[in-house]
Amino acid sequence: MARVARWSGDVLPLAIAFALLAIVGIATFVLVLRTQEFIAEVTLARDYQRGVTQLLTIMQDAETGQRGYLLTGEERYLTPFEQARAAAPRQLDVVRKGAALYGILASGSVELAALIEGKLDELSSTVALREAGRTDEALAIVRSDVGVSLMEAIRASLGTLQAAAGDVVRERRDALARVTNILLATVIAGLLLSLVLTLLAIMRLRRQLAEVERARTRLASFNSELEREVAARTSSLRTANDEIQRFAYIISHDLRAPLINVMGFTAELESARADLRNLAPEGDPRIVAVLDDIGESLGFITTATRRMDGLIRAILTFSRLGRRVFTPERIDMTALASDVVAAHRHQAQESRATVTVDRLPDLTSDRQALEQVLSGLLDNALKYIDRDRAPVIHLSGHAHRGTARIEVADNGRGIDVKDHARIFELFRRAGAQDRPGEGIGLAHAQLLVRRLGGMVGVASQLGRGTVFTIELPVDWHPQEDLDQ
Amino acid sequence: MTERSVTILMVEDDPGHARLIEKNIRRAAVNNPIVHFENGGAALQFLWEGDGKDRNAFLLLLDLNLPDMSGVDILRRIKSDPTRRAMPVVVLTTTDDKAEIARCYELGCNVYITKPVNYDSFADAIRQLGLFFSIMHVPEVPAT
Repeated sequence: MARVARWSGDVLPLAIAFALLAIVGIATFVLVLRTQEFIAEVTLARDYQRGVTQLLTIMQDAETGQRGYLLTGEERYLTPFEQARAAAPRQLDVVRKGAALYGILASGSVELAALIEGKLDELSSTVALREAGRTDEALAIVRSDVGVSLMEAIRASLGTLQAAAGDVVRERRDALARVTNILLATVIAGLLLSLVLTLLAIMRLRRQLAEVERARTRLASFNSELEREVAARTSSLRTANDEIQRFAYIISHDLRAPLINVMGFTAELESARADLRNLAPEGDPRIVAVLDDIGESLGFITTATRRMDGLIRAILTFSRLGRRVFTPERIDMTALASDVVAAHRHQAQESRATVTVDRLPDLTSDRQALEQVLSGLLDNALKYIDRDRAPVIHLSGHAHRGTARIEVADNGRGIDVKDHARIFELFRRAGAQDRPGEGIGLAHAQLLVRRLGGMVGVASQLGRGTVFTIELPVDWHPQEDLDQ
Repeated sequence: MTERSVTILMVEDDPGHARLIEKNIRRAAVNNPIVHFENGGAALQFLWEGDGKDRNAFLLLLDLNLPDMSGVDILRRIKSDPTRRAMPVVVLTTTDDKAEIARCYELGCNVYITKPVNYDSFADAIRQLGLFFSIMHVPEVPAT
């Protein structure tokens, strides 16, 4: 819960800042569009203002052309007059439309049209009179000041219009300035927001970095704690292991001492019995029977003590294997396996077995231990053959990600699934007990492989065959604390 | 007991083993006198302070596992004494630990015999030892 609260407390200002920034962005966009519109409107208003001035210019041009013609009678003065007369209605139309658009001089525009029409008529009529040679009449019209007053009125009307258009331009320009100011403010606000956002993000990042750093420190302390614990466990395991090995050693030593007595004096008894027998070759049959009974008992004692001696030797060997110092070296496993197979050639010939060796991965490990392991497995394969088929034994292997897998596969009598775990225990054997053995071979193999950092596995089916698999590190180095 | 005959000193804490060893030595027709010590201390006392102080015609049968000290200590003591160094020492023990055997030979033991449960081979070893006794010449160090 604390985590969620910290998250929202962290994220909320950022989210708000982001939202505001988005709004500012949209506003800026809109404002820029509006600014463009206002600029266009200002331009239009200015054009209109110029259009009003243009109309006045056209009217003045028309009058100037008329005056020139009236004075000189020369045709060339008529050209500007004609042009102005043609342009005036068009320009008037532009001015009227603009006035309607901007809502200025709505009534005045009708009056202006009449004035312009009147002035053009006055001009046209005087020009027409002059063309007809009636110059005096034309001059009389000019002198009547009708044209002058019409022109005055037009000038006044257009001046008013001009002023109104100027107002429109100013108004639009002010509006543009306002929009521009708002845009500026918005952009500044956006910049400030960005700054705030950056600061927030930096703060958040720093907080998170600090948190990561704290977590890392915690993890490191956990790790070192774990390492200490592992070291402590390793040390106590090592002590326990040492104790077990010492125990095995002492037991095997001390058990042998009384056993020697039992064996030795059993032999003494046996020779005493033989002496007694020799003393009375034709003796009392009851005595002979007793001596035979004694002989039988001594035989059982001898067998049992021999077996016991075998077991004690096995324990001793086992404890020695556990204590031997392993020395890693580079080993050509294919060659090593071939040597082991060669050492078993006689045994293989006896059981008519075919033994083949594939290419095996090379290892850095203890040579003697690996020889013993492979030798033990091969020995088993040759020992527990199935008499009904030609024995075939195959050694193969491969390495993958630093682990080498070596397989010893046979088509022998196989091991019942329920015995798969048991066969690795000391003094335990599986299946028919019809072959010699103490039940220590696989226990030894497992001990050695484990000390070399690996493991031994078995896959087997009764009556089909067995595959023993050894998994070993390709590059093994003894760990000082465990193997000393 | 003449001055020239070799006396067998047997250091063995297990009376059963001592008896078996003695019986087999006798069976191998070795008639030298045998003096039995049940611990290392008694044997050392005999050699350096007791009756054996001034004589050197001994053969030592030494068990490595003794109650009061290790047989290796006795071996080392004998082999570091210039007058005792030549004394033949036969180490008898229950183990066939290679490291232990190597250590004994390093210290100068002459023969190392594992006490076998197989009684016959033990007797053979003792008999061979008898042969060894008979051809062995132990120089007598003049009494000082």
